Amino acid sequence: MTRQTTLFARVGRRIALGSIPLVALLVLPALALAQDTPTGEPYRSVAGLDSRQVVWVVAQLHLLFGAFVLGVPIFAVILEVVGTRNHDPRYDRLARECTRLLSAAFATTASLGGLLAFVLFGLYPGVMQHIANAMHGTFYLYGLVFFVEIAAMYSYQYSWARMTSLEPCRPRLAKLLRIPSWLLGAAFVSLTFYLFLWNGVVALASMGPSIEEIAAGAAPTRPLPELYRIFPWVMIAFLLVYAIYSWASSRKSLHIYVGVVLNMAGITIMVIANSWGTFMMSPTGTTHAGVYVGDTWGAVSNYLWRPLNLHRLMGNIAYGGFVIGAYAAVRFLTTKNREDRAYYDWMGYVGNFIGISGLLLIPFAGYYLGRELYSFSPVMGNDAMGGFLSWNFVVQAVLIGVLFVGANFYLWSGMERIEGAERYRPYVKFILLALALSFFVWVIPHNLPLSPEEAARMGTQYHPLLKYLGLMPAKNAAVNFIILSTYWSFMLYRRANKGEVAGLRDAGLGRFIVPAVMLLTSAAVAIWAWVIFGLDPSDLSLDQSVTWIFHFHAWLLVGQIVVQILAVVLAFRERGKLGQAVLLAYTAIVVVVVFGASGFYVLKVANPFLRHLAVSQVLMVLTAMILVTAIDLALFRGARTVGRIRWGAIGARPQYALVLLCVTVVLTMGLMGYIHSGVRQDWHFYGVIRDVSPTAQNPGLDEVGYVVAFITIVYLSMLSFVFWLANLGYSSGGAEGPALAAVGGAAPSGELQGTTPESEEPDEPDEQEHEHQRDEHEDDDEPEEEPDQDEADDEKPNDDEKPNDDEKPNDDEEPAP
Amino acid sequence: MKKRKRVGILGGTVAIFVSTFVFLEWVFPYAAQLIVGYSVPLPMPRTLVIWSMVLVTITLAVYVASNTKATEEFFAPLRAAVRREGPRWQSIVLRVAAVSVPPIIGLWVFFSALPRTAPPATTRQQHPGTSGPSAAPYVGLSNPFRGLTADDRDAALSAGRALYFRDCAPCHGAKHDGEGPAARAQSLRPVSFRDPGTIATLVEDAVFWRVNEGAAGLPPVSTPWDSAMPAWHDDLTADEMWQIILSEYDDADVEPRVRGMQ
Repeated sequence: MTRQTTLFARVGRRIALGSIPLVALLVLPALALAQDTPTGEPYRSVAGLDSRQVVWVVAQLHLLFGAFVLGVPIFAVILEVVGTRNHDPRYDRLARECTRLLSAAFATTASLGGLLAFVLFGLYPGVMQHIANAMHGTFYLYGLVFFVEIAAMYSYQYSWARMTSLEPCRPRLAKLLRIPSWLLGAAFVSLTFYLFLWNGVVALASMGPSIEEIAAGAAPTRPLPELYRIFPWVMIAFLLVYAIYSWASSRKSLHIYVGVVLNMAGITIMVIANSWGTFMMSPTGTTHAGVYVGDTWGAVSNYLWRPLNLHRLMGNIAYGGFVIGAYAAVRFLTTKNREDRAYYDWMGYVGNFIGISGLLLIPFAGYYLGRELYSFSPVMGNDAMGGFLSWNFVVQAVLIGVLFVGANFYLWSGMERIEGAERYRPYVKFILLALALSFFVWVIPHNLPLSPEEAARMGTQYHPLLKYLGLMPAKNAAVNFIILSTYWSFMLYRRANKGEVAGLRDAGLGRFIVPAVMLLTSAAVAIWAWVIFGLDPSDLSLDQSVTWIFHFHAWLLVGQIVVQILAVVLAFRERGKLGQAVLLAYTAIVVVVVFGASGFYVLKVANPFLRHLAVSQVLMVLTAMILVTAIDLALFRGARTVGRIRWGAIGARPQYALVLLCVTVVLTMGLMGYIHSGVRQDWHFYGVIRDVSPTAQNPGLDEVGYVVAFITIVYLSMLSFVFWLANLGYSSGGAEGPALAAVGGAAPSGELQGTTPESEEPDEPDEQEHEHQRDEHEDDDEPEEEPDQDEADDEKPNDDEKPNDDEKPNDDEEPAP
Repeated sequence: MKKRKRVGILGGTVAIFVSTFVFLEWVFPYAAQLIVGYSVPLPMPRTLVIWSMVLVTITLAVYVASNTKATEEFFAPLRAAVRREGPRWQSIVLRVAAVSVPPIIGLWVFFSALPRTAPPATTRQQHPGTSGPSAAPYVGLSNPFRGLTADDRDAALSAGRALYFRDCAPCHGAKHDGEGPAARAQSLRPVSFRDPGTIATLVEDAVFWRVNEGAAGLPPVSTPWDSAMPAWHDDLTADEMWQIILSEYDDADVEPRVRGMQ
């Protein structure tokens, strides 16, 4: 009883403290609107500052913290699941350390959110009034979900040590509910993806009555009403069934459930906030007189909402990974403890892995967002990509190039700690060449400035050859080549210490999974090929004579299906690596060389088809990566190891690369944040309500650079401070290693990392019982001592979990999350 | 058996750096001329040469720094030369290099600071936004001659062609390639409509805006003073301009960008 009371008291107090900024946030709308109404003044300024810049800085800082707070729980829960399944305590320790940083950053995020709301309602009351008119219902939902987020987050963090047992509570009930909970989870995730992340302008095209008709009294109709009606019930059913299943399974499962709820709340908060921003970019339901005639859901479900949701979700994961990587790098560089260095080296590797995983997918999500931007308004699209923001995109291209090169540099440097990796070093120069060439094409703008002498010599304003490298076909080819090269680099890293592999026949479950994956990937390509085969040129306002172009590209897609099948057949015949190489080579040649060249022809004679071509490129690259990964996982699962991974045996340079990646990703997000808002130019709500304030102009590129750099410096300073605070209770006397080791098990030792024999089971109930007994003596009325109390919880030595340097390393368990 | 002489990583990086510069400066212009079929060599713009060399430097640095052995091998000749452990010529090369760095930097500063008579390069914006006061009224307009029956469309095309040859072809060329007889007299050359980066990337209302308002209606970022495009609203009716636009796309073999999902 006492133990439970202690837990609830502590969690409750954290929730109460965390709610203070939230409560401030909730009362703001009413206060600010009440202030505005009497005068009707649409704009104000504060301390003589440029209102746009004030909002810009505060919003970006809030967004950066928000992205961290929403991105980290996603992979923290995944890490916890991986650690639980692999019985590898490092994952649990890492997940818990991430969560500790998360909760420290959470209050700052909420405070900045409150400040942003103050600033917006104070400086732009007219704008906020229109948003409130259109979607004030979302404000309340946002606040309520915030409560869920706070409750879930603090429960997740503070119940960690108490919920490590894997002992089934109700085994029969758990067995009974396992499949229903999986099915409901799959249904919930699929519906979420389809309704809130995908299905953008396509669905909205059939939204029914126009604004004028709605203003005249027609009821707005919704696409897919049945699915949206079903969705809440699926979600509730999933939450209930999964909760019972988790409770019946084990305490650890219940803890993971809390993490899932935390993520659901976090993603909900993100999509609600996204709806406000995208409503300003692509407003629905607003007449040209600036009057809102739609309903709340109409405003939320605007044209760019879903693509931005997807883009931000992936961006947050990648960004969270790089921030965690940089944190690990700093810890690595500042610690002298051998075990901690090994652990933070591994943590940096995982952070970089998460960053790369997101980074490989973000360009696709970015393309989807850009495509929908063009669909909503080609003029807005041209403003962004070919107009006044084009040079911002050149800067963005440079930053993205730095991210890819930096991530690859880290991988190549990291190969030095893997025995056997020297076999793959010769490939590095080719990958680097591919990256450099792609990068060269990637950054060339269409309007590359010529000096007057150069223009006079060539007799033209734009370089007659290089201008083509500024067009979309060249960019698409380059970015896909960068993605494939980085992917290949990662595959080399993965197999760095692996020997020869056998065929898929000996791959256990893999021999069923790989063909199943192949069916899915080839089906995706086949469906798209079928769509292109059935495309009528007149639907794209094109002449029938271009039909052969459609068929040519569709046949190349069919070719990839054949190569996918071939790759799997080869994998079964003990030629798996050859199969992978053939599939990647075919994809690279078609996507980069053939589609890269044919894209220019398509641009010239069948421009509207270019979008289909780009989707073909995306699809081929994605499916190839998925299938090659599936084959790789199956092939190398039982492969002989030719060397060990010496975690901690890495130099300082890769650590600085991790820091560089973090700074670069923050700069990139800062720049893209400006582009998101700046593309509206002098519109509050693009195309319907104009910004007539004195500061309604876009800054020059230099000013953008200064402000983004300023934001980056302030953000990283704040984040460093927050992280320092988070570690205050854990850094005294070098006790951190053992303390954190006890959280989930053994801290890895320098030579034996990637090695956690299953006998090192971290979840011994007896040990937990000891911890609980200690908790009963804690004095919970001393808030300032809480970190120490947590420390005390964690410091309970667990001899069973200590690393054993004499044990033979089991490199098969080298982490490949 | 004679041992094969290795260039070494230092030698290799220097060779790649120098050969890249040689390629960009002296080979690329002729290769580009050959590919495009142009009448004069097409040098790589100075900004891009600088950028390329920065990229090559970064690439080489990443390669060398990503492996301890490579890093050591890269610095070994330099270290040996400083310590005079290597051959004598290495030491001489190092001294010459060390002595020549300050004068090179000095000369670079001198020539950079030298007054020049050339006008500064401008980053002209090819696709100005339509958010400005000049363009805003045109947003959302559509070509009334699209979507007509075949006969009516042909009639509009014929009318547009006739007007094009009277008013536009002198600069934009009979082949819509920007090579009209008056084109070479202009400092900002008229655009080629066949270039997939021009009207093919625009919706028709933006093209209509450009024809109607001409250079005078361009925002400052697009340097209206460089363009000789007349504002046609005083000489042509709206229908005539739409007909011209219809024929431009048709004869240049390009399609306008369209609103909405494709």
